[in-house]
Amino acid sequence: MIASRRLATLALLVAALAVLSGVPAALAEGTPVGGTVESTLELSLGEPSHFVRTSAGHRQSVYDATIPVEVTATDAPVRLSLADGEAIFGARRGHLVRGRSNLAIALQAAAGRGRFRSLDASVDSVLEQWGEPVSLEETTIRLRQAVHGTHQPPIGGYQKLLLVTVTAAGP
Amino acid sequence: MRFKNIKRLTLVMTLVMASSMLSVAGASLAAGGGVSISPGIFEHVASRGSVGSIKISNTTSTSMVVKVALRPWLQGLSGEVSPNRGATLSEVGLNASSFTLGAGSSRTVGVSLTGTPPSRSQYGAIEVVGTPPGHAAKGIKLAYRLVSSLRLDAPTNAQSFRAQPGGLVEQGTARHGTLLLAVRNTGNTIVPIGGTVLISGRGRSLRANAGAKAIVPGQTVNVPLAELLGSLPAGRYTVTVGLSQGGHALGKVTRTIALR
Repeated sequence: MIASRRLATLALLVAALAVLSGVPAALAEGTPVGGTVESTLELSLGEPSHFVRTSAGHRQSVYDATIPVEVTATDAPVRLSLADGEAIFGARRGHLVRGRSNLAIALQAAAGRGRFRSLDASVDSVLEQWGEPVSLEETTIRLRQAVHGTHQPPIGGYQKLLLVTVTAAGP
Repeated sequence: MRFKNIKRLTLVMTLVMASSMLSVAGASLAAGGGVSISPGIFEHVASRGSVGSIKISNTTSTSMVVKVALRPWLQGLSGEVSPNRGATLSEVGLNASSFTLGAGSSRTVGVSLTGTPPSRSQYGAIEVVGTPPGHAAKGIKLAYRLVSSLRLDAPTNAQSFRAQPGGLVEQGTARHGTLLLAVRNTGNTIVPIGGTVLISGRGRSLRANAGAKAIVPGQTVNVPLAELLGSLPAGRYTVTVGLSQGGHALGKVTRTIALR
């Protein structure tokens, strides 16, 4: 019984500390708090994962990888997109390449619960959009590479420089 | 009973510790640093000479090669923009366009107008690409690309608010659709273009406010006039749009359309 009371007291103490830590002292004293935030745009990237085969069939296999992303932007709307960092036009745009050859199917990307978009488009495909300023907004870009047949892994020497892009405020 | 409470206490403490560990884990991506550009919108009056500067920071633990370019926008009919990577803006220059930015360091890059733009204004994108060293060990190599807006506005006495309306576009159907008007910005400002809409016909009418769109001068964008949502039955209608831009009336345009 005493132990129960102690447990309840501890729980209340933890809850009270949590609530108190969230209340700025100035607010408790009735002092107005304000300030300005410098207009800025910031992008942080995590380590991309290896491509892992997620489905295999006689005609096509699919490989997936992820890129952790974090965005801070004071000017909305904020858009996250992915672009080919090597080819801005032609058959190699959006395709993993090895020497002079490239995979037949373009790399695809999506963010959050969005649908996959091919990276061989002439304009950057918007993967995620925020209508308001964001601070340390985390999301994950999902990459998908489909290859014909099951006999060869797509990343066996194939590679691509990808530009993880954040655009602020439109024109 | 006592043993049960100790187990509960252990559970509470574990949850408290787990939540604090999760909050630390959540901060790990930002703690690893990134690349930033300030300001997010670079807006000044277009006057010859220096117009200001941007600050680029690398807060990661590795140095990287940074390339800065000023590019014209590519704008789709929906209004979305992306930098035209195959072109650069004329008459606007940078005092540094390629340099190595060390870990935890910043650099200020000056922007200047080398001449007076023909339309007195210049709009485009400031594109900053930061590429860390190393190879694509996992098939992909990542680079940071930040795109902010460059707005060099015409002086107040040289601003021109003009638009050229095109045809009506019906997206979807009268039950679940949007009515749009193609509008070309023939002025020299980026101030959004919108207006008021009156749709009449078959003994009914619908009034709405058009959603304002920022249109790059010289570009055409479909401005949404009204959500249809089944408020009007299919048939032929007259659509009158009073276009405006930042409080400036741009004139009225009348079109007819057969809603499906």
